[in-house]
Amino acid sequence: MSAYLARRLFYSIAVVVGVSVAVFLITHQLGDPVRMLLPLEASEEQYQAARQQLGFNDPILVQFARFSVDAVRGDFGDSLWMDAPALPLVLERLPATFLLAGTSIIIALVLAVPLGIIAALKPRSLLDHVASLTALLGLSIADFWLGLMLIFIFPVSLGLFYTSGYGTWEHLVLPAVTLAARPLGRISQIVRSSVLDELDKNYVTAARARGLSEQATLLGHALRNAAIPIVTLTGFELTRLLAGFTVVVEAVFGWPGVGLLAVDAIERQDLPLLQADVFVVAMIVVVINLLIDLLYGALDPRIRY
Amino acid sequence: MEESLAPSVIIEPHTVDTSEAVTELRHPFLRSLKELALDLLHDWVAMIGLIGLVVLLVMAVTAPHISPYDPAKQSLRDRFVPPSWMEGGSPEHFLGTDSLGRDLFSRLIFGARVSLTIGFITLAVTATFGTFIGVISGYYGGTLDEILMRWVDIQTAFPGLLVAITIIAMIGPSVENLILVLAINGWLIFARIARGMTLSLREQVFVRAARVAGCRDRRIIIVHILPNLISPLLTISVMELARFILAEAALSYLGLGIQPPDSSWGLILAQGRDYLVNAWWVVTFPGVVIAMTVLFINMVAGWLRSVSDPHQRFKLRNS
Repeated sequence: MSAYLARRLFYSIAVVVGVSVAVFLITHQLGDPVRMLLPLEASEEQYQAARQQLGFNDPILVQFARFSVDAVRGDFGDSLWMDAPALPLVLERLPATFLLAGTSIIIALVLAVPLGIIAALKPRSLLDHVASLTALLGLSIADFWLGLMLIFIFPVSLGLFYTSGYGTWEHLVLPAVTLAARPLGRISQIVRSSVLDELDKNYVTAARARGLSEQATLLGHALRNAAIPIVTLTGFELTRLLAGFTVVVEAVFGWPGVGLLAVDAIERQDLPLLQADVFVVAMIVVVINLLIDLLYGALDPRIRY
Repeated sequence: MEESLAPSVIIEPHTVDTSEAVTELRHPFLRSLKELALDLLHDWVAMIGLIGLVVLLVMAVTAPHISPYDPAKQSLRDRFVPPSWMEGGSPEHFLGTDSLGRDLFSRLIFGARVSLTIGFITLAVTATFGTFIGVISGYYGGTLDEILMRWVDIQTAFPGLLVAITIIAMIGPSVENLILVLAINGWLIFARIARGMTLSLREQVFVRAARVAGCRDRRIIIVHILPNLISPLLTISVMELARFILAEAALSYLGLGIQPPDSSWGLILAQGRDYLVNAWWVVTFPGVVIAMTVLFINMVAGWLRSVSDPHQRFKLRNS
């Protein structure tokens, strides 16, 4: 177990280093960051002076060393837009994104598991086709479009919920439902196929032969064994939501999370803020992936590290 | 680990000991394409998907001939004309017009060109690069494999869309840059699957025999390994195409993709966003077209996946 943990931690550190190099390269070497940091009317002399002063003329390794030291100290510079250190600005947006992504995953799970089981119990029936089509639709709809349609139907036409904002559960409903569509489709597909797989196995036949009810066979035996791929995929979908899918939906609903912050930072050419945002989100993805890996052992006693 | 990466994929190694060995060796994937075509007749879902896709492609290719208007032609007198079946609608504008009086139907037809072209080009780039890296990694193994696969692992842990919009913010939005950022995220899955399959193919008898017979590595890879990768990678390709089309729409919606005066479905949608309340159709129809396209692609992909899994294929054939 400890050897596995050590290896896993080492790997996580490698990812952190990789992410740092990538964020550095993207925000310091691509395009012209100095031009972005200066007002449009800056003269050529001012540009050269700023370039020298900000250290962009130094050798690339020196620049990277400086960036790394600052990053370890949590110093990503001051946000140009809000005139405050960038990191705290990002961190205070995190709860909103967690709330949104978490609620969406719960909505998706609550709907997808029964949908998948129903489809698996009667394969190729009408119910199965309807469930499969629902799953496919969830995967095929552009989330920002679904969001706009929900805005048009509920707040605009029916006067229910809000078009944007943050604070009460009524603000949360529409963005969470929008974001749940994709994981709903993916999870119900995997529930269907893994339950189908398990129902084909010998231990299920044996359980039925012993006279267990269909319900007990399904809930006590098949579903338990089908749980591992379902949990894996759910964790994966959660990281995908946090790692980017919230960006567009947060932008549609004006939800004040890290995704909207990134979009705003780009619009305002606020490089320090954008850099801090990407860095924080990448770290969160690394941590969640690590947690999911450790969860396996708890779920499946056969897995020993 | 390798097995778990591509669990539903069959490998059909070339047979060398039958009488039809020669033709089999030459066209291993043509044979499986023929089988795919036979399976297609049994599956109406896949049939609808395929027909829908072909119609969309024809629409995109022949856009200048079938489009009723120039998609960029503005007419401020005809702003916000509703779709033809609604009150106030005009038969001249089937799906209505947008805030500048441009014909929405024509814009969608031309938008199909941009959206589909970007999807297919990105697919070609990612599939080629990813398969190349994967095959090299799996075939040669050792340190090279270790380095390449750790690279893939690390990049997989990146927040894809966020990194994509950050790169675009730095280098500016354009069609080339859009394809570039989509490709940066897209090649990983091809590399993983191609590597996993190459690893197992490398140890198969027909590859070992080729090596003993004195074939060079390049010949073994091109003649013996690549043809066996086509069928599983085809399934992945179709699913990735759907993802690229959605991602292009999302980036264009955020203003970081296609730029006016060019137009794609995502951009048309974004341009209608501010008028959602009084002109719902400008937002609704591009979204419907995107959803239909991706749905068609997913229908075909689901079927490709099930026929490449022998277990499910057996069920299909016997039902």
